[in-house]
Amino acid sequence: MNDRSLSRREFFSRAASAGFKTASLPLALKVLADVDAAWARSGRPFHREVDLYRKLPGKKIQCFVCPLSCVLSPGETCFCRSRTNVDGALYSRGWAKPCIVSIDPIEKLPLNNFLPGEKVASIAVGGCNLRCLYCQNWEQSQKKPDDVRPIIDLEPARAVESTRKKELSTIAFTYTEPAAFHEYVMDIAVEAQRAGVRVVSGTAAFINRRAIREACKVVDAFAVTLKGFDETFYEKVCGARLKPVLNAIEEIRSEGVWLELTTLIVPTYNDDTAKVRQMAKWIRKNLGSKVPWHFARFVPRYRLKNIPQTPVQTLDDARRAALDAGIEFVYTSNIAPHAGNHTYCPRCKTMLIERVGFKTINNKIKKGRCPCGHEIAGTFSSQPRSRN
Amino acid sequence: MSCTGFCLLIALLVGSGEATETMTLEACYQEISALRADINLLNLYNGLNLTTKQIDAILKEARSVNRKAGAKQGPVAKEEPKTTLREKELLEDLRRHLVKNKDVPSTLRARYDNLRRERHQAQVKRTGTVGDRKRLAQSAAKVEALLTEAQLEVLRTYKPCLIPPRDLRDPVRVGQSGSDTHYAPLIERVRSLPDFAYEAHREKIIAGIVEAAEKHNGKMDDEARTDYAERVSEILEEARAMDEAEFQFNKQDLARKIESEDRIETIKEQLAASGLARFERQGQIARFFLTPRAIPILEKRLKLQKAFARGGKVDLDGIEGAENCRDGKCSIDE
Repeated sequence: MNDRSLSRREFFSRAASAGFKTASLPLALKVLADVDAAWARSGRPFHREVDLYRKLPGKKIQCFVCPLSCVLSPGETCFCRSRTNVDGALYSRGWAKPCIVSIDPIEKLPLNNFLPGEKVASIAVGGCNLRCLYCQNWEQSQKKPDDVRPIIDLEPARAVESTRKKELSTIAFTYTEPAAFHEYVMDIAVEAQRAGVRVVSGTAAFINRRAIREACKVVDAFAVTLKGFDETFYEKVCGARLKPVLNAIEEIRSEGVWLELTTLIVPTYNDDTAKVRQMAKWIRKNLGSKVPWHFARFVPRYRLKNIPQTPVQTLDDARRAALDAGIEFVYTSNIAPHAGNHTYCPRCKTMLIERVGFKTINNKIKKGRCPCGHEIAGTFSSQPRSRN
Repeated sequence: MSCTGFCLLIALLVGSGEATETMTLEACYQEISALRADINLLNLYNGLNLTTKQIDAILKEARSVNRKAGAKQGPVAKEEPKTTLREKELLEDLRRHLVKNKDVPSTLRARYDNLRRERHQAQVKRTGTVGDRKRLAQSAAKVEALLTEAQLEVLRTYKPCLIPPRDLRDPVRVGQSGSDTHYAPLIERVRSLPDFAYEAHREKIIAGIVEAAEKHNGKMDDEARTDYAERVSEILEEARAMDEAEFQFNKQDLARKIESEDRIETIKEQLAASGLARFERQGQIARFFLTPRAIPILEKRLKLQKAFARGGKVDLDGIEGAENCRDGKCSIDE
């Protein structure tokens, strides 16, 4: 340790320097906040103002996109890490800044009864309003949109134009949570509708009724992950709540937009067959028997690496329970080849679409019908929006 | 003990140590070869997700084929050590004559002819007659009928391996990002290079890609190699000229374009087109399901699947749960 005593001159010089730095810090922060606000006000495209929020006294705001209804002071960001209060107004951080753009099979969402075999342009922006312990895309979803790399400049018109240029008919919002970049979804979807491009969304549906109703007007199909069927599971494993998810699912159904559900079966967490039966009963009663239901195999990821992957037998049991409960299209995902990868006719049980994972080997559906004549629920050709 | 005796004892010990080491190494090689064969089979079986019913039926067929083959090959196998010993003696006699630079006697010639005939007959018995091969093909056809189209597709594209590729062991999952082919990250890295660095390393990068392609899909002739290198160069230039959004939309296509022709796949496609694929497939089935090695593996798998028991239920209140947000107090400070 240096034991040299300070001279009088050195002491005053250091004290003055420290005092200046301390005093100027809030000033510097204020200047930065003002610059940020001015930048946002100037209409820079990467900071689009959010539609669903209200202003509160003291430049506070309350976000209404998802059920968390975050109340933010200036400079604070929502739980989803995607919306920030800039000087009393709420701005989307991820607008036109996706971190993933890729071409995928539509079955990857998963959507098996909606344009099977079709390729889609998948778009994802960083951020999520859930905190699932097993998230498989946590590198993107558990970060702010501007902290994920790469950041791709992609304004809605360009996204639609590029999709058409690649001769794709559909844009998919997937990988992360579309509710976290709802404004971007809406802007692209409106643009896409004008250009005759379809939009599908892979979501956890932890979103407010008003926001999902708005989305239903421009989105052609939803692949919703119904992660479990009790509040404790949603709270402890996903950091969310079940009731709003069920509300949003019912909303999608009542709006008549094509819907498929997915449940990731995590061993010892939500693999109870009795619970699956309970879910199946709810689905039949509230959504009908024609809503396809996918049981996805859990693979250890993120914060649940201590749990083994789901045994095939568990998935078989869940599938059997759902079929017995009267759900017409029950699939198994993340395991291929498997009997649950294929689409069967609910009437004659013929295998109509044979798949290995996402790859379609055979498709016997003609004009939306099985060779036996039975109409298969879903969209199987380029016709306008379908209804379950 | 005298000095000579002691030295002899040491020499004996050292000599026997070497012999033991050689024997152990040989046994080790055999063990490795057996392990490789088992792992290849296990990777395939894991990738096929066989049901209990399928395993049961395949086992029945494999046991039947091997029982019949065993009944025929048993006496051959019994004779094998005696024949080998006779061959050793014959070769020693032959060497003795040749060392002395003498003519090979007619008796030795006759012994050699007899031995060669016996070896040939044993070989025929081991590989089976035309009838045996027909029966094997029938069994393979029965196993083929047990498998679904999707399983046969996996079998068709299966390449024996120790570490299974991602799509076999760990298929790309629903909603999972990042399923690019390995060329996409490579193009991404090339794009990130500044111009001067790219110009400096361009030839090296292209040569590396060509070398990797040849390692994977076989050697190319000079003309094909030059064409491929030119194609790679054009694709890399194209990728570098794109802006980020355009590149993201096109990177999978660019990666696919850079992939050289997979000759094994091409041959398989030609086989399928010529109608010979069925024979190819039955050969694969015989090799993967009717081999004696398959029986203990499938037996263990069957036992495991039949004994499946689900784990208990986790106490969710006892776990460290996910981060949560209550009563709207969930803002994140900048």
